[in-house]
Amino acid sequence: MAVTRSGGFAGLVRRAEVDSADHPTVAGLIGDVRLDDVPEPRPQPDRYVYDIEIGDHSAQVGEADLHGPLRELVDHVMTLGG
Amino acid sequence: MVQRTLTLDHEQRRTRVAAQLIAQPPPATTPVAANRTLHDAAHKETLPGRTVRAEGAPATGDQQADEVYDWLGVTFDFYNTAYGRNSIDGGGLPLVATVHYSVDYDNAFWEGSQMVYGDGDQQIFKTFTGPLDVTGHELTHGVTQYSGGLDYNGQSGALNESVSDVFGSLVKQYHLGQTADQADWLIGQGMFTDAVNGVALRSMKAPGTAYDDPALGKDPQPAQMADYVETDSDNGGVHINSGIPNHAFYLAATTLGGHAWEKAGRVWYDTLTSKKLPSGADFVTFASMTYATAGTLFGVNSTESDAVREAWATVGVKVT
Repeated sequence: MAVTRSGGFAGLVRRAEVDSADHPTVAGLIGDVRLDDVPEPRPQPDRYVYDIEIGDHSAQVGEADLHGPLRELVDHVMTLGG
Repeated sequence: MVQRTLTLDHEQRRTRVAAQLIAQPPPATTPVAANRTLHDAAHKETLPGRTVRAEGAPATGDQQADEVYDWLGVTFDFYNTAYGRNSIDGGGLPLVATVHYSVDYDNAFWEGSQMVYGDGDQQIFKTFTGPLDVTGHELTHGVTQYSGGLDYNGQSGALNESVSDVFGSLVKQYHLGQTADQADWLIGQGMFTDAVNGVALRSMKAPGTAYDDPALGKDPQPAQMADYVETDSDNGGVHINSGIPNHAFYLAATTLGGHAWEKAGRVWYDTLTSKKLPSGADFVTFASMTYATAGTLFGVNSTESDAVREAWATVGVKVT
């Protein structure tokens, strides 16, 4: 899976990729995440935008909507693969 | 004795009131002043966090809270002095800010009703509270919001970003007393750690040249419409394509010379706050409105309106 973070005041792009086969924690978190359920991004000035890809699924999530297991997953992947 | 004291007090008061009337005639309107409150999120993400400094209170000793307190004051003073605007909403909105947001947070943002600042991760960014233009940029997102807004995606989003860079830079120039040719026209100078090869995040003078670093890559900003970047990330590249209108402002301001907030800044400010700017404005719409505004302010064939039209033409945006 991969996470690409864009936006923020700086506008810098950061991408992190992790193979869930190598990371049981990531695999576990993926099981708790429903990418189809994330709300449509509401663009807000200088907030981060996350493009999340899990296998064939992808979704764009605004920083303010990143909660619960999805937040945990994104933070974990950014730490591991950033 | 009691009577005598009362009489004396009465006399003293009369004298004092008379002296005040001579020294300070009552102002025609209520004087405007910033009303700032600083909060500390203590590295959590709950807003606004614990109150650490109210308006008029002494410095906290927390460098970041005190820097933001000062920069909120300078930005308030800039908008009030340069454009007669009483705070972000024009109606004396209290200025609320939170520092120490989240952990190693590499960002600052306008949340819709308050400012929020991270500490920076100290690897790439050392501070978000140090440079005045960051606070000027973020509070201007509030000014844009209260002026009717610019939709935060595509060209209108890049204009939203550009307007924040323009007034962020102007606040800094105002604070330093600089003319257009003295200004650095950089956004975020002093934010990077020494590990990063770059002077700032963006350059209005030379978009695309602010940084070139092995870890961060190269500043991707275009200066020309021909180089407009189509992308799905960052709401359609709002922090990338802002380079085009940023450079147009720089060109207009340096052509006109003097204090950039007085002429070019006035044109941009009046356009932003005209209540006629569509929230979905593209570059051509915004450019055409700045040209019309310059004509209204300075005359249709004035040096000022010519400079505005030429500035947009140079970046490949033809006013209509």
